[in-house]
Amino acid sequence: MDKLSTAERTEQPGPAERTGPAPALVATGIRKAYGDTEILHGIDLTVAEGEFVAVMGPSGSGKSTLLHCLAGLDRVDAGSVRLAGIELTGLSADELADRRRELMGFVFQQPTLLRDLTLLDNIVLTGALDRIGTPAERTAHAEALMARAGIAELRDRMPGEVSGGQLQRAGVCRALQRDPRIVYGDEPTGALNSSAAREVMDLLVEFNRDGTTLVVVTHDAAVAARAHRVVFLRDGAVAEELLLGGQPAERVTDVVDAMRAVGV
Amino acid sequence: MPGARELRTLTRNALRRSGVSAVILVAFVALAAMLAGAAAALVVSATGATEALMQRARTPHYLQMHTGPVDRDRMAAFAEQNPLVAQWAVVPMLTVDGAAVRISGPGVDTTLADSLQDNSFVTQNAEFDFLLDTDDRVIQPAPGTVWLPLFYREELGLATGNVVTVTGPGATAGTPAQTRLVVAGFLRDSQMNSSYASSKRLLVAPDDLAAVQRTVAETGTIEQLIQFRLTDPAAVGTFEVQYREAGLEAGGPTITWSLFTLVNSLSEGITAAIVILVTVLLVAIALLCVRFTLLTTIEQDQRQIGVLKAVGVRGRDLRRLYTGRYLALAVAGALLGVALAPLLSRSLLARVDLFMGPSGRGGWALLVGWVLAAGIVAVVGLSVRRTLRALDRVSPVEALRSGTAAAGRVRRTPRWLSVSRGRLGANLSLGLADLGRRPGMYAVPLVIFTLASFILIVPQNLYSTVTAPGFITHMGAGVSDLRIDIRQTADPRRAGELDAALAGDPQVARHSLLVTADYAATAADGTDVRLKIESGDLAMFPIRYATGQQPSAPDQLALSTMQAQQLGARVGDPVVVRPPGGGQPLALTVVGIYSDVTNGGRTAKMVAPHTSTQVMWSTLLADVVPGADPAAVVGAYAAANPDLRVSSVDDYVQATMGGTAQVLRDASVISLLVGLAIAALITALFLRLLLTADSARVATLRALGFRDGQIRAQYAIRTVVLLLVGVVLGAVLANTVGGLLAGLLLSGVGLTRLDLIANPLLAWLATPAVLLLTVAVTAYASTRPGADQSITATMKE
Repeated sequence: MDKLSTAERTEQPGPAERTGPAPALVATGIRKAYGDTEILHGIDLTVAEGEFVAVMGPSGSGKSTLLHCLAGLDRVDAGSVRLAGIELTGLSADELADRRRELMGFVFQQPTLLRDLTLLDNIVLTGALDRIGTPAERTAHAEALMARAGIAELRDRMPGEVSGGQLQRAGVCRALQRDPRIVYGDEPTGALNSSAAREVMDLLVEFNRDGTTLVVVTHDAAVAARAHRVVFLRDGAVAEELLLGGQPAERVTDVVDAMRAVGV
Repeated sequence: MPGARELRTLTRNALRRSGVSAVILVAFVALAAMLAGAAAALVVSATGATEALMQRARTPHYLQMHTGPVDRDRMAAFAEQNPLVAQWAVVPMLTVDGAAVRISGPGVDTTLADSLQDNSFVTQNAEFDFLLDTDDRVIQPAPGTVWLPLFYREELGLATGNVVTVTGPGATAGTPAQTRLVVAGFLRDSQMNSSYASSKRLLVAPDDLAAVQRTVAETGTIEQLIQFRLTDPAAVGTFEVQYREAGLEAGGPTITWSLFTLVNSLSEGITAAIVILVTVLLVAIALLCVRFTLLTTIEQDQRQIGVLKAVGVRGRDLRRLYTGRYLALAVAGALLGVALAPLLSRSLLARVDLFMGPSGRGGWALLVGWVLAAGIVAVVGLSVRRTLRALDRVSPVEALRSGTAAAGRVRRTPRWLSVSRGRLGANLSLGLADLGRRPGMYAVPLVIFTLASFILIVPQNLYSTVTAPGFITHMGAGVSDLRIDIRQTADPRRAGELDAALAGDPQVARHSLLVTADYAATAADGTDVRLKIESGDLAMFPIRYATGQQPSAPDQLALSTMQAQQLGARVGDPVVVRPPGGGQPLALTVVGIYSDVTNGGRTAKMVAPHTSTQVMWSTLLADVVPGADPAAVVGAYAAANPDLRVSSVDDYVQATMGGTAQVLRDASVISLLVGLAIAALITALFLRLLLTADSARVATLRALGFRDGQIRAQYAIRTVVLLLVGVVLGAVLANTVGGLLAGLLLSGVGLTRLDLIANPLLAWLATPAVLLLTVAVTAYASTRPGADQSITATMKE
């Protein structure tokens, strides 16, 4: 376990080369149980600033639980989670809520936009809560993000009036509106068709190239193949890590091979 | 039946999930059933007890009070030849100034001066009109003892063994300065139990009556009670006219059996009316609860209901299961309420039991309570069936595809509340926007908050209305600083002397003498009716008119509501009034109708001088000059005229409406508690349901980094806004519909069109503040996230 697969030369610049050695996220010895069943058995994970890490594993391996623990949505039973130098495990619920707004962005499997707010209002929501900048500045920032996501003309639409792919792109804009230190994705393309999934991933990768750190849980080899590194979980522990490089087709093959090897 | 197990699981889960609402439904049905039972007990027992007491005491069917000598032979001849008379008696009553009657004992030292009652010493009657002890035995007082009305025991805190000292003007030969009597017990007086009766009877042995009479000498007045028991009590109207036409003694008010009944059960009637009103509101709230809970449940269970329908479960089967479970809850509530009802009715009936004794109708009261509780269950059942029609609207396809039938019906947030505009801040925007987005959802708590504040405010306003000085204008009298009542028993010249005294008094700014005399008129149905008409300057101390206006010309007449009903006359109708025993009849036109609770509610007013010589009483009203102390002026006139009733407006209102005020104050306190309980329960229920329905939304907000406190603030903002709107609506309703309702309830006493006077501090500040505090605390407590509630678990759901 914890065996590092053969690191191949990557065409993409690696995160360490871009941002230096400072890690964005350091998790050590994470344990989490629900009732008598321990889901995570002491996981260590370090994510460098600007890195894109994909987390894969069979159903029940603890992927989503790990993500929730890293984001402070769930509390760990043991271990430590440091994000941008801040230890999350000892924080109160309110302090955790504050850190989530300031440091993190989320993209969930189901678009979790509030049904009664327009796409624009959904995107500016937490910025408005903390009154970051003026309303005009917030709106301008959100519009710029929406333009990059190709949904600028949908700003006044309600969530029920746009497609799933457009909704998820709005979700990505919402996650990025406050320039977070890290964006967590929990199966962000799981509910989308392949072309919509590709569009959403293109967007996330684009922002990652601009320096946003990404941790994405996925079942999809094509999604994982776009990461710098894939962490495979099995039975609540890290079974394998794969550093990715080369052409897209090779990367997908590498991920699929690793999935077979791990038994995903 | 396909899916039977799933069905049962579904409805069971629905109830379990909304456990709070199940408890609240049971609580409301229980409360409603309890109040209905208590109201039934009050109505059945109070009317029963009144009638039972009047039967036991053999209350006269017709009573004529008279001051001055009575020609007994003439009376006997009249009774002899009148077939309606079964029994008759002329009973003397020695009326003594209240200040002369002092009561002392352990912890008690008081006089009857403040009671504003006419206090009269009497002896026990021989054949009817008995004064009874609390075991309903006819009292035969031992020499040297006195039996006091229960009214005084309750008002003044008296006890057996207290000593009553009657003081006279001074010792002379053969006249002791004082008579001492020991209180042997307290009596039930079927005529004068109530505080509405302005006289009270004190029972002594014949020798003691003579002793008291010697003591008080000329300061006491003998009043005669001319009483009749009739062979046909229903013919009392005919008898009244026959009595008048015979020209017999009639120097005082006339009271009939029905008026005794009314006066005896008035307080209980008002309480019962309020309890009934609250019960109806509670049933309405229980129905709203059922509807709200069911609709939310169905909304949440869309998908499961869709699945069940897809596998072939019929809507009928679904309905039966939901109905069964909700009916079971309603029955549980009703049983609880029926079980608790005796506790409440016992306290409500305490005064009835004390003043009137057992009603003998306990079984009936219980039965009526059960029938009402069953009725409440039936109404809840009907409401459930009606609400469950929503099940038919669940489309299996839509429910399965989206998990919600409401996906396409989201309302757009108004632009001014838009988060991106940033005008109000995110929490306020989100908090308020939801009100407009789901108006149907919020309408239910809004209606309930409105009803709750209505329940809170109406009795309060009634209380402040009844105790306000201006209320006197509802009692057929104008507002004045000073009021002097001169019964016809006093020297007829007294009124003129006092009129002159007031005219010459530099402390008196203005005054008016109103003289009431006796007339007869023919009603629309041809029967003869007695009229007590007040004549004088009506404009100086005006009263309020329900319809029409004050008489200003000599050919105009105003009637009290009950008098108008008796005459069958309306504004514009001509009425000819005839002085008894001959004299100039007056052809008058009715120009106004007003409320009056005094003198049995039957009075009339005109400005024309009297043509009747049968003056019944006179009233002097006066205002003091600015700067003068009204209380001092009242005190001075009271001291100078110890035999007359001199009072301030407050005294007069207190004496006439004191009992009602007490009842209304109790009712206000009860409604305050009921209203607050309703508001708290509904807030708890509503927020639990809303949070359950909104769990995914709440989880999203928490995941995005909203603090729990901020999310709670959004829900609190909605609740508080709803409450504020509800309080305003409730207050407006209370002041409009409340006055009408109160008028309807009190019309039996002669009051109509009651303009409620709110105590602004209480109605607009204290009550809303208490309500707001209750709702805020409840909202805070019921939106507290459970310790086990995790964002991720909710989001997975």
